Amino acid sequence: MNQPDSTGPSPASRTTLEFRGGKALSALPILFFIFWAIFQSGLLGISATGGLIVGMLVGLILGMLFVKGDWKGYADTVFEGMAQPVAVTAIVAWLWAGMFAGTLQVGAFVDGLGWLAVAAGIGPLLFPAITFLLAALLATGIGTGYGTVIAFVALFFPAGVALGADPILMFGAILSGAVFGDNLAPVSDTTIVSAVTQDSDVGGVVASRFKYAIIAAVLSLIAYVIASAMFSGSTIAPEVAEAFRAQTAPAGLLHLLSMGVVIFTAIAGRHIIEAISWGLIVAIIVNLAFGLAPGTDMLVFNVAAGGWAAETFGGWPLVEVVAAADAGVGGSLYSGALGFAELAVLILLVIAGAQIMMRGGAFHALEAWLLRTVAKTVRSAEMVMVTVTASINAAITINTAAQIAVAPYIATIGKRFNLNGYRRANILDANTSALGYIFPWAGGVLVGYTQMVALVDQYDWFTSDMVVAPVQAWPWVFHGWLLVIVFLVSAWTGFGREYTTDRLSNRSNES
Amino acid sequence: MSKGLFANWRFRTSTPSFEPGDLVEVYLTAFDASTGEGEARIGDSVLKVSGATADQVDRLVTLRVASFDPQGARGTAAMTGD
Repeated sequence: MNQPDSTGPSPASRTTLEFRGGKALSALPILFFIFWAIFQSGLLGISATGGLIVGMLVGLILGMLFVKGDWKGYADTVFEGMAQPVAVTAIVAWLWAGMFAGTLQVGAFVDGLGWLAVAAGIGPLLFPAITFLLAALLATGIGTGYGTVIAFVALFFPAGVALGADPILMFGAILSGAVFGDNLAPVSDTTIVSAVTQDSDVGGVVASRFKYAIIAAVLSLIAYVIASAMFSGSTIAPEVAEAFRAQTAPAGLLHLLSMGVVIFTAIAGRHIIEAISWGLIVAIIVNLAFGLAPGTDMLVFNVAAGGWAAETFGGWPLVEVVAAADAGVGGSLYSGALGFAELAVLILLVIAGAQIMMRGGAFHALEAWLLRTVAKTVRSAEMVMVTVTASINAAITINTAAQIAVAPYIATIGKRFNLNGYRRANILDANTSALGYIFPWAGGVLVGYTQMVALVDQYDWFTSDMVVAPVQAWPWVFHGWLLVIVFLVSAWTGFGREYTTDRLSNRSNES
Repeated sequence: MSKGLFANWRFRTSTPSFEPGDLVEVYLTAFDASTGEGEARIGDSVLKVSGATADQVDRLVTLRVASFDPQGARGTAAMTGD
């Protein structure tokens, strides 16, 4: 994501809450939520976000019962967590990206992509690999992995599935692209947080992490082609695929302009809200000017027939008179943004649970134990940095938030072995970026799933059995897994390792 | 930035070596109050540091390497006063 102002010194190590049963009990709300998510999504097969909200709420209530003394501190900590800029930043990115992707969707961009794929001869074999490549490029350009997931699930995913690509591989490829961008983009806020918290300059961390990212990406690209070849048979009926081919048309490709505006504005250093807003404005103008979609596809006030409002405003632009039961607001701006309302609530609660864990000292206890018992050599220290960073994402589902939480510990462990800021920042960012799009309850996976469910209402041919449940996607996020593996191998072999005696990261010199 | 994209495509040892007289900028990683001696651990190489104080632990200091044994990856260094 792209929100430099959300970075700053982390107060994560300050312990202010005491729990009956010790510091580990402060992890209860989050652990309860994870078990709930596994039970609900994994075992019962219910992927509803609303259910996860209840799981997190119950977890927060259970945690409170173990607090020593006044419960007000616990309640304050819940608010403190929810009020963090990092959670709000993610929600804002989802709302804006949702409106933008929805508006491109009604503007027939998917038909345009389908036309391009057919014209270029890209079939099911190459579609996931190409999708990974393009998602990686978009995410690197705009710096928001979440926004990329939303746009690609809304636009590339249906085109790929309609042309016979495997839905699970397509979702994995999109998530992989988001990982690549969150990891490497100079304007990604995980990139910025990793640099700032490890005393490094953004340019230096991007240059130094290129080698890890590109190794994992090349292997991922190959893996998507091989996996596509191994998935025999399309999940879509031939007549549906043929119907989609018949409706593909180049006109929707005009929205490459809308996407280009977002990418270039973001690369020019504008805030992601500003960048997507400009893209949205261009998309609306393109839709109207070229007749790709009427205004009511983007925003419509559905007024109940028979009432005063229908008589007065019926016939006005953006107003439609409907049966009383259908009254409401609609259009891509509405449905694009509102689709993420439940997820927004869930993420706020999860961040609150993570804050409880930090204030209760579970993180600090973990760090002390690791330094004392596991991180004895530089090799084991780096292995610990990789695995701890990766696993913290299991608890804190927004990768930027996970990164802010774990950053002070990475700095401490790394400095004990004089690993320079670039190496520390790279270990930190790669593994938070990767796992933020792998765990079934991770923000990146849920946001894609949420967008995917909306496709069922969007397209007649898109049926609910084409929706990829969050729990199905994790093995196929190749770039995420390969990035973690690249870092485990690097820690073991010393590939790319740099000490402060080799060179200091730029910001260290200033301090 | 681009010239750095292909920098450090190499495997770095866990026990870097130093030469007597080298000036190195490192984080002081430990301080032993009983001996008054500091320690700078670079990977798995260790420099015993004279002239350091306890409050310099975890801070960047500049050292001049006095001796280093590559076999044992152990050496001595002195604070330069920076």
